[in-house]
Amino acid sequence: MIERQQKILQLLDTSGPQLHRLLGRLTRREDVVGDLLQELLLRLWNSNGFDKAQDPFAYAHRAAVNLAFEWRRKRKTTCQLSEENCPAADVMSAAGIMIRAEELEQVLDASSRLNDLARNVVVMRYVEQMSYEEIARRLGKKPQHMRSVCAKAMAELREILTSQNG
Amino acid sequence: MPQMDQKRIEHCFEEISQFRPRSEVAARDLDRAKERLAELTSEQRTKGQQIWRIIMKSRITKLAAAVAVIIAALVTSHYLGGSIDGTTIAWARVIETIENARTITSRETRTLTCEAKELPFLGTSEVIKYASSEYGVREDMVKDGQPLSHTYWLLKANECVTIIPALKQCTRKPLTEVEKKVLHQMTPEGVANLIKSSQYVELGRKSIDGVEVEGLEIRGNELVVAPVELDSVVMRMWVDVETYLPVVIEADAITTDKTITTFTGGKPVKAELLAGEFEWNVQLDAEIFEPNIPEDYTILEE
Repeated sequence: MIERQQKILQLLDTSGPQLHRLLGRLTRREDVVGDLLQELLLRLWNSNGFDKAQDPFAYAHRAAVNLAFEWRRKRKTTCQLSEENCPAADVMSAAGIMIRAEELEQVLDASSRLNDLARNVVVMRYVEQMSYEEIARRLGKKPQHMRSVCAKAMAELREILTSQNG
Repeated sequence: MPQMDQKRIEHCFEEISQFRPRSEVAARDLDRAKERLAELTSEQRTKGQQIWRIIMKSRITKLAAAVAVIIAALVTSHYLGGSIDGTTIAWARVIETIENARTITSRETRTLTCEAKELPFLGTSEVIKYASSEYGVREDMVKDGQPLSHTYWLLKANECVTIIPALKQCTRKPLTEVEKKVLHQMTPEGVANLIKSSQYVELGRKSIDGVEVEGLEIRGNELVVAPVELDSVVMRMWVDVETYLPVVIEADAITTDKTITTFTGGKPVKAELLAGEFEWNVQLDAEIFEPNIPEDYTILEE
């Protein structure tokens, strides 16, 4: 247990800000990130899988993505605006901002419907801006496979979003 | 809203990737996370002082399962009727009542002792039991007001699931052939099928909480199907003389089986059971027998 504690502490020191940022991006809610970070911590604390993980950050990253999307599925669908985190707000009308925010929420909600691997790849590629090589290394897979998964995931997202918007 | 083509979706993701919590918020949240980690470590050290925390997780899970087996064996013996040759009308009515029941619920007190001292981490516990000929058996064990375990023996899934809230752990395993027999014996249908002769002693009549009851006693571990060896089993059933329904069932068993006595340094363990508050043919929905395992629990497949 002491080893696990040290592992988590080291993770927080080296990758805490990145995990915090990831949770923020996937929830778009500054006010819930703190609670989710603690929930993530609790899961890692109680997880035997974390002990055995060769790449603790990759394990925690996957857990954080799953946690964020679980939160999305449970919450009510409301559109939260925070001007500090809304880029280019000054050039858009209020209605435009609302529509844009709604679109972003739709894309994230649609992503929660992808399978675990597809969702993780999409998040790493488009939210974290990682290369396919980096993604492959992180997930222990081949870059070509990651390209294929990503392409299929995007096609699935298009289908989900198209059917939602009629 | 405009159609979401690939380009538009990618543009949305690009905007999502630009979201950045304020630095003071990030710093505050990370500090709180580290404080929480320190609390968890401290809690862990405190709990480690309790005897049952010192035992390895796998061992306590196995002990809980083994105890459940002993108790299951006792329960099996409970539901064996008395004078099964049918010559005594009262006992035949009792058996008929059990045969016709589809469900039984009861409340039990279980005590495990070694050399007349309660076992340190299990000792005395309360159990609420649900038995269904359709779904199987569920037992919720509580100690000192805290949930200790939830055990499901499931007929359709053919598995045993044990959930231990204090450890946030769950074990699930297929039922062995012996366990299937034990499970079947625990259901009302199984009870009804367990009609065989046994040597018994009639205990006569007495009053329990103002109810006139008649009792019998059966001895003999050969009556019980159990995956652990029981050195002796004594069961006493007290039946309401007017309703022909069991009011109280008492059972004692002693085992020197190593599966159990490994936790007591080889010394024999005595299991005592007192079951009451029986309800027959109550509505038991399928969801009662659904092991709803919380997402943050560790699942051990055996």
